[in-house]
Amino acid sequence: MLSRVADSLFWLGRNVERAETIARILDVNYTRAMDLYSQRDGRSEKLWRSVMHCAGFVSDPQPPVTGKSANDVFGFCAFDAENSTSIVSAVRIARANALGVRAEITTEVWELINVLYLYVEEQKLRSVMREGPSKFLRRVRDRAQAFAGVSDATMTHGDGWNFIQVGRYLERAYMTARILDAIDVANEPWHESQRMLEMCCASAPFAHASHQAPDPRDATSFVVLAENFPRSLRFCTREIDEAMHRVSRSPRGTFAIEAERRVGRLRSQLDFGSIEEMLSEGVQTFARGLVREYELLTQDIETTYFPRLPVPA
Amino acid sequence: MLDLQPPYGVANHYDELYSADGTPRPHYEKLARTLGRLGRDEILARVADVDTALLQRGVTFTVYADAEGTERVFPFDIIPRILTAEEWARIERGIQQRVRAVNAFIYDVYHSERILREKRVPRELVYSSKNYNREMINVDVPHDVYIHVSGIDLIRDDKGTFMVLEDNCRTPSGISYVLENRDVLKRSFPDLFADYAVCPVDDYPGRLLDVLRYVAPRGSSQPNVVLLTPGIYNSAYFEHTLLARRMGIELVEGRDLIVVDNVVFLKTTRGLERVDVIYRRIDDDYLDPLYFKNDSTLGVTGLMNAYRSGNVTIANAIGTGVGDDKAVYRFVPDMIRFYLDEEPLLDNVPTFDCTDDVQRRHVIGNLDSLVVKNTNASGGYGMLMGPYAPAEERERFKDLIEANPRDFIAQPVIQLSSSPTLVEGGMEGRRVDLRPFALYGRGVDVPAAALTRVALREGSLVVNSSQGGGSKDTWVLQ
Amino acid sequence: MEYTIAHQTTYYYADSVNESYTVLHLQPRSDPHQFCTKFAIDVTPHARINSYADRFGNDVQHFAILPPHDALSITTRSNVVTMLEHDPMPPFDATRAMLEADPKVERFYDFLHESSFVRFVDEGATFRAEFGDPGESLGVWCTNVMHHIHASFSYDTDATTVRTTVTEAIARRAGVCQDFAHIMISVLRAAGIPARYVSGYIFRGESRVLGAEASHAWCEAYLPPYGWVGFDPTNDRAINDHFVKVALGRDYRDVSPVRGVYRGGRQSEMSVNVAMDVLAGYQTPAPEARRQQQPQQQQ
Repeated sequence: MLSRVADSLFWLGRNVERAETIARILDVNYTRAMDLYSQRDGRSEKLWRSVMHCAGFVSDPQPPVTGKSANDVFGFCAFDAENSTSIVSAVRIARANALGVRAEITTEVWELINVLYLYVEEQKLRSVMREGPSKFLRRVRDRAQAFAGVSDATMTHGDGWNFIQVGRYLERAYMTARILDAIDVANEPWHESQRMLEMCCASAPFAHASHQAPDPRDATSFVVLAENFPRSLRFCTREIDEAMHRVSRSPRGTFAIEAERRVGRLRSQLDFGSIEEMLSEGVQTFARGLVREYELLTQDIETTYFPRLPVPA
Repeated sequence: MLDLQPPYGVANHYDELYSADGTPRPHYEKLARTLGRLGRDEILARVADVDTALLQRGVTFTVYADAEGTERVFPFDIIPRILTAEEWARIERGIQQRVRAVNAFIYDVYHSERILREKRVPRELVYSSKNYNREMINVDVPHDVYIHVSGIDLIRDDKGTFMVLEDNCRTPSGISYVLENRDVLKRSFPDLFADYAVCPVDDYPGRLLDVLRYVAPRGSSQPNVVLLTPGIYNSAYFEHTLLARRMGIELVEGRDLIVVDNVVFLKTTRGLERVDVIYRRIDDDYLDPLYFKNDSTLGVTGLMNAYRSGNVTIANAIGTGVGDDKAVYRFVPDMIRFYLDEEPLLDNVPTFDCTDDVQRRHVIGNLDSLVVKNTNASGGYGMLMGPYAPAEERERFKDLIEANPRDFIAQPVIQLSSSPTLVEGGMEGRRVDLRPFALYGRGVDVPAAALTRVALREGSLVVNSSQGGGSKDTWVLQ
Repeated sequence: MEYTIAHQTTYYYADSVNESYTVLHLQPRSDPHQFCTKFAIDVTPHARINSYADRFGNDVQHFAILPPHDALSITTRSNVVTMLEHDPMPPFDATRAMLEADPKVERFYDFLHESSFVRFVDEGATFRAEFGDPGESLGVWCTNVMHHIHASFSYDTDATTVRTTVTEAIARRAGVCQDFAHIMISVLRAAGIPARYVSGYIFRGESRVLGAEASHAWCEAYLPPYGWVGFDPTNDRAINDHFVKVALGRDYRDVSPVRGVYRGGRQSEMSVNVAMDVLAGYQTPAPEARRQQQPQQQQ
């Protein structure tokens, strides 16, 4: 497969996933802000600051949240084209990538992305807020989630599809790690844990698995280690590892390239490590370490599969 | 009811549906009846669905009005244009003949120059053509085929006779609209097809791939064919993706290719992979910065050398533009006589040569009744429609022609035929042309997949998409 | 005379570059007046050399270096025997009538019209007026054009670059061999005389000649009954066995000794060394090898 095409499919997978995650995060927090966090005690600001953190403003100077309304943050995370992790940016990037590999993806996949793009481009912050953002966010999430199904069902599960998988699960793991990093449960263990679970789409699965109200440690453990929950770090990392081995055709449990070595190490850490060890220096330290690992993994994949410099035969 | 009776006015030109006495031509009768039965509201409702479907599919072209280019749906008129089997057979033979002659001409001007030595075509005309590519002199191409894909634009005069308006031998586009139009029409108006036996169009990609594989360099038994696109901002990008997908070949950009020791390779996730045939949709000038425009980032550095050494086939060949130069056009009938020893089956439109003093004076004196075309432009750009242009525009062209006579030709205004077209309030006649595509491999193949372009503005004679044109599904009857 | 010529071109890049593709016009021609007995190319970093003959009959070499590199050096070594022992007689018998009667002329379209560096600009027309009408005696007139260019322009390596157009050089009344050749070609072509560009080398010998530090350039006019006749406006002299012809073309663009395309850093410096030594046939005291270095602009 062409390196450029693999590159585009990887980022297509990532950006669709990103649009979905940002939409979910906004939905959860916008709803929360209406009751619990609406009191004027700084909790609202804390809430929106954590949203900004998830949405990617870690290294950039923090845009001021104080004094800004939920609308501003919402506009920034959903519609700001300057913000490369906004919904509109993620969808545009996804669509540009899809367009560049139009010949490699199926008509069904293309139309799904194109319709999502046409829909998002049509929306304006003011009208979305007027009718309540839920409808808009729901539509974005539906389309983005349908992408996974349609690409699975219509594309050949060859290298191209595998690069989409790697992109999707890498982005998912990355965002889960960022959510863990963004939420500090110290003051309100129950509410904050619940908010974290909802942002990870894990509220009901966690309840179902644990039959209890969210204890912070158990909630974190679930999001990190749940074996069959499709957004846990362990699950995502395993999927990345599998997809990468399908591409390289190297046997499971071995590595042919640096990226496989890194993801393999990560996978065994998550498969065999204990939550106590992992969180021994606090959730934030652990989460940031993972964020860094996923960033390095992205670089490793780029170096091997989408090299900037030619590799002569 | 759709406004079918009485017929829309048929002025002093040929109409595809109505004969001069106002009765429908036999091959249109059933279509007219079906449209009448469907009724206006039903048709309009289905048309709205068609437009949505085209936008969602991304059947768009790019308009270069702003920096990024805006994507627009190419307007599609649902009333098909119908050609009888007899009409098509004449067109097919005429185009085969014409393409063979133009191809022979291109070979000749890059080799022994027989037609120039025998003074049938002026040397000056060839050497002064902006698309005469000197790098191609003495370069051999597989099977001596240069124009693997061409689009020959035909119009009908007031008697209904098909004439050639221009030849497109570089990278003609439009076939994707042919394929999509048919697909969309079949889905949205299945009723229209009920009474007709229409030749399919979807075998075009397969026939194109046959040609591309046939012209592969000698020795490649399983040739690797790729389609080279300038990228997603190109106006025909949709077409590139469609063709690549239908042919099952890689759609590549210049940066995906690399030349190593005169061999072209693809950069893949598993290393380099050899390429044998490049179906390129990039103009000559941008193909290789080492030999052509040196600031081009669309092309492949070193490609010309790989091509020269016969390690890769480029389709169309480099330098075919000398064959569709609008000033060379008027010599095509002579080429047919010279190379094939045959009489032309399709006539040219009379053309004035502005480099000739007498003819130029005539052109300048009669700008209000002539069409002036830039010999190197295409897509309806750089053109003057004398009778409809404001006086100052005619003055401007007068100066342009005087300054660079080689860059212009003039032709009388031909009243294109009209074809029934859905407009607000009913059905009216709008002017159409016809672009059949010819594929040149073992011989010249003219698939029954032709593009009908329609000038949607009332009275307009310009059908180009950039100038308010749309398209129709074109039915060649079996 | 028999010469051995070493020509070294080196590019230094501030940031490393990759995928560099280079085309060379460095191989001396073989024709009735000279014969190239040896030609060797050495490229660092190593590259495989391919070649072809272009439409002017020049032997062209090209190569690619794909991995990153921060310098590129091309060295050619040629041995050439030149045979025009005496200065040719001035082409004084050439006439307009002979030119017009010559059937070959119709094929010289490219040598009669504008090309990349040779433009028939208005400034050129004023300048051309200085030469008067060629009249019938084309050979005499061409020789006068050469004299006039030599007399009215100063040789100045700082005045122009490889990209300088005829207009700019005329405005400055200064330039190097490339500019003088282009100017003379434009004057001749505008007067309807086929003219082409020649790149090559000139042997310095004991006398001071211009353009001997690097590649030299002059022009040829098509003057029946002589055929192509060389003029060196830089040194105001006819072409004899001190000249080694490398490549022919419409202008510099067709025959630039080294041209290329690469990816990466823009900044570069270039140095050229040409050493031309006599192997045989030169009677006066043994010449010393001339080695000079001058920075030039990247083409």
